[in-house]
Amino acid sequence: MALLKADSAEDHYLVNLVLRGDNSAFTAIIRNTERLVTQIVFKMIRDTDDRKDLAQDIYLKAYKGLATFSFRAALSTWIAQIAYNTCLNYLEKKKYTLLGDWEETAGDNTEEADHVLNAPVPLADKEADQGILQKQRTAIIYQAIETLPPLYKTLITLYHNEELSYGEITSITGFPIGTVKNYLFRARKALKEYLLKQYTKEEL
Amino acid sequence: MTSIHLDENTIQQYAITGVLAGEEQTHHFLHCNHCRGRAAAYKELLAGIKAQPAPAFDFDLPALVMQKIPAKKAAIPWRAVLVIAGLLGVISLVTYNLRAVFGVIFEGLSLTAASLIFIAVISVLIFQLVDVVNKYHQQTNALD
Repeated sequence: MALLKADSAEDHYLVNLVLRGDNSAFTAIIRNTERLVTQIVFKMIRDTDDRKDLAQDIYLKAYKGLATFSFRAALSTWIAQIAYNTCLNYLEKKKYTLLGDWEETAGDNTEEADHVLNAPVPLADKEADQGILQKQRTAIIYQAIETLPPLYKTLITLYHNEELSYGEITSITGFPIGTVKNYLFRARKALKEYLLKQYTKEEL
Repeated sequence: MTSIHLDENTIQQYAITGVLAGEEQTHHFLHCNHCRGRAAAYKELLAGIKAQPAPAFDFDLPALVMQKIPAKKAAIPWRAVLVIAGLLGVISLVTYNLRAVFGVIFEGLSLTAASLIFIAVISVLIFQLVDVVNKYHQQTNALD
């Protein structure tokens, strides 16, 4: 979260350094915004190789456009907007839609869900059982999120994981606040219904 | 207590904020197992979403990007230096050729006052020129 609330003075400082020719300052900008960009790319794009190319493309666009950045929004929000639009263009080229039929892709991601399940979680011994249950629940919800269309996945992540405000999400996606709220409502409802359909309440 | 269950949006907002709008909603919620069960399901879901680990690329993103960005030479801005030197040369030449005219204009002024005016004018011209050059570079970067 700290990266999103970054001091705008730091943004100014880093941007000015890059514009004066100090490329190492751009490395700092990438490090500060990498988490948010990665979230957007992972939620919108499935293909691993394409993710790599797109991530590189996003930052090259940001570098080239840095002189036009007007500091009206946080630098991270501006770069996230570039990331969202770049991924959106990619989806349009591939004839995918932001709100495609998500039933079709349900259960496609057991491998990545296993990855989440096997991720190490530091725990005290007495909390181990609870930790396993927690990891199982996290993996189940991961699978459920993966069944959502790219737009819903992205919005859920930006709002609930990255804790962005509606205003920031509006800046990134270009949707009005009402639309963002409506999509988030529908995404949460779809997740709940999917989980209730797939698993008993005890498993949750 | 009202027998109408809370709508889905209200339940979601309660799960997120922990706040219900109005006494009637709160009263219903406290006495309705159905609505409390729905809110608990959403709370579980939201906790599960928050617990998702952040994804990470399996490569060094800054290194990948920086290899595509050409290193800029932070050298002396020779163009600006040449322009300023040229400008100073032209001003000196004009001043020398028109020294008789300047002698009439600044008649009565001490050498110190005339020098101060001259330095002030030259300084303003140099600052404006540097500003023009900087703006030109910013626009060139934007076009790139």
